[in-house]
Amino acid sequence: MSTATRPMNDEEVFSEMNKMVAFIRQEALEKAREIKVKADEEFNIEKAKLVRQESINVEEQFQRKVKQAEVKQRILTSTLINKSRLQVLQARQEMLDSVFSEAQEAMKSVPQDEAKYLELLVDLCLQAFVQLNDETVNVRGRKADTELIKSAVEKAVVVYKEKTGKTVRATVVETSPLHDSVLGGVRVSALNDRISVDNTLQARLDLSSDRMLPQLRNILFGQSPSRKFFN
Amino acid sequence: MTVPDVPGAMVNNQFFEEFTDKVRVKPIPWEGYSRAGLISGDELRELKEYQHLAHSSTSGGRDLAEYMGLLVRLTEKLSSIDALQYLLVQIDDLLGDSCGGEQLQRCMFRCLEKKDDYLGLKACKILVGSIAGCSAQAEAEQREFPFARLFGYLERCMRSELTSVVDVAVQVMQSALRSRHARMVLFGEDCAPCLTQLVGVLRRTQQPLTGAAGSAGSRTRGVVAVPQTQYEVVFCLWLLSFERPIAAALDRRLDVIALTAEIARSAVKEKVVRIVVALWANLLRLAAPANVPAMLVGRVPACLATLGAGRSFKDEDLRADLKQLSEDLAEHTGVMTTWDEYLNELASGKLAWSPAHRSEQFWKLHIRRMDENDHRVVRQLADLLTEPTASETALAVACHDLSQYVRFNPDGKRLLARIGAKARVMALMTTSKCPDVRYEALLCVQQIMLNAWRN
Repeated sequence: MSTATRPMNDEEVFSEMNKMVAFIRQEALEKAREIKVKADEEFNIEKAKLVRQESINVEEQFQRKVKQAEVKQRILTSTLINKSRLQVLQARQEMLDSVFSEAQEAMKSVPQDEAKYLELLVDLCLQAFVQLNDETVNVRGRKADTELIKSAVEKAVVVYKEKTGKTVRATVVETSPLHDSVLGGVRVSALNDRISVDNTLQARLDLSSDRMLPQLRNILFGQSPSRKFFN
Repeated sequence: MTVPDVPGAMVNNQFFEEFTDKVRVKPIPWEGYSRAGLISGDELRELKEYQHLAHSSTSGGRDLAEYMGLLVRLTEKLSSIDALQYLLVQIDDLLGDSCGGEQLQRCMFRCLEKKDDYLGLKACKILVGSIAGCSAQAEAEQREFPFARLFGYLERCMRSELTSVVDVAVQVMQSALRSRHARMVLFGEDCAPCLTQLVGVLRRTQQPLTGAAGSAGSRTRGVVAVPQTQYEVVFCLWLLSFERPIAAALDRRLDVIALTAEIARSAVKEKVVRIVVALWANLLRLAAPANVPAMLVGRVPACLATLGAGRSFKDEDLRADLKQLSEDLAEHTGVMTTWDEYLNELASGKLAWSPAHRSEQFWKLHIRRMDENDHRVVRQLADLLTEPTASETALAVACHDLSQYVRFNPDGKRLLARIGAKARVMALMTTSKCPDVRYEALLCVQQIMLNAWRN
């Protein structure tokens, strides 16, 4: 290498310069590489942080949506269950109604069998007398049944006397007969018509319809599946 | 003038460059190969086209890339060293920063197996370049890349007698360790020899100071220019230290803090100091509990103070880092007492004769603390006695400490016997090569035997 004893010629100057340039370039690249490494690390850290943050967010949103869907599902199920219950009830009610209307129809034929109808009237009057427990009673019935009622009443009074020992004076009131829609039977009243026992067929039909609902249910639809006590 | 980007694989070695230039102009008998049937006629024609384009054009970047496939195929087919060298040089020129394919990688690995140093190192450079090229997206690709093989080859290179081979190998590692997966692989079981070799290169750079004077005469193996090699190896360590598990275990395994402290103290070039400070900053930032003891034992704070006060560095980042590091270290050590210092020493495994060890006051004061946590400190001392890598000073100091323990805590004798320390000390007394160790062990046994009848 030439020392400082003589000045360098052009070639040497050039080569020295190139060497220096190369050296500086190398140093610069090394520093640039260090900076790049640090930048990459910061990038990685930042990216990881962001990814973690966002994935937490996404997770939360997802959970929320799942919960909403569940709630919606539950609401839907319960609505449908309710609806189906109502439908079942409606169908049952229709069945009952049809049973009652058939019974009503059948009832109309009761007064046609005169012998049996008379027996029935006697029993009805008797029951009414017993219930009223009064000495004077008025008996009313349909216009068509007047004769039958009169004979029934007579018999009933006798039986009443036998059974209870009490006398009852029963008057058949013809002036205000019952409407035909009662289908038969008697209405017995006492105390100036202030208390009455309605033993008309319609009334008894209504009563039994109401009272016998449990048995009707059992016959029509079977026992309830969740019933536990049968005594 | 446009600013050049940092290349993915950067190798700057004079010998390497000169060789590359020679290869570029060396005549290769392509026609001969064609006649011998090793390459087809088409390939020969394409090659001629390529050479014509490459030598004449100024803007042929686009076209040249198409020939990559051709070059790779030729590399697979041929096996003559000269031809392969030429092909690799061309591939390297073309590759730039793009990602190579699988086929390219396979080829390069095959080249590693030929017994030519230049070929192998050039192949490594290309491999690392191709990995760096696709580092942005392809994390999965990186995971599959067989870094272990690469590191195995580089380890062999670093053991070479030729300085430039070692230098290029280290530079290739610098670029390879940019990838996070590569760092974990290097720190794993398989590549432990490679890592040890790397640190070995660094250690060798320190040896000229103890050997014959004059740098030109005693050029140790593998050291091209001491500051440059130091910079390169510490750069590799710095890259490794970005991963938290590595930062925690690096010093334990390889004792880097003490080594780098020595280097920083004696460094002339600013960039060496810069990279060492960056390494320490990483170690402290990511794994403070593991590294603070070692730093204190290695007298890092003092070193930092000297550096900060003595020289004014041109690099702003360096100045900022230095200040930051000193403050952080001071914060960690601010609340430490003598006892904590003692614990630090013990944790780092490098016991030395400090005044605390000799003072009776110290022992009397802290005797209870040695029994805390199921006699943790005592057990640590006993473990140190059995550790094969403990230095002789450390052994001597450990024996001394145990003897003090027994002296102020008579029940300790039973404990020592139970954990086997007594037997070990007795063994050291007779078999150790260092007279200090024997002496201290003898004293310790004496303490144990004293008033033994009491128990």
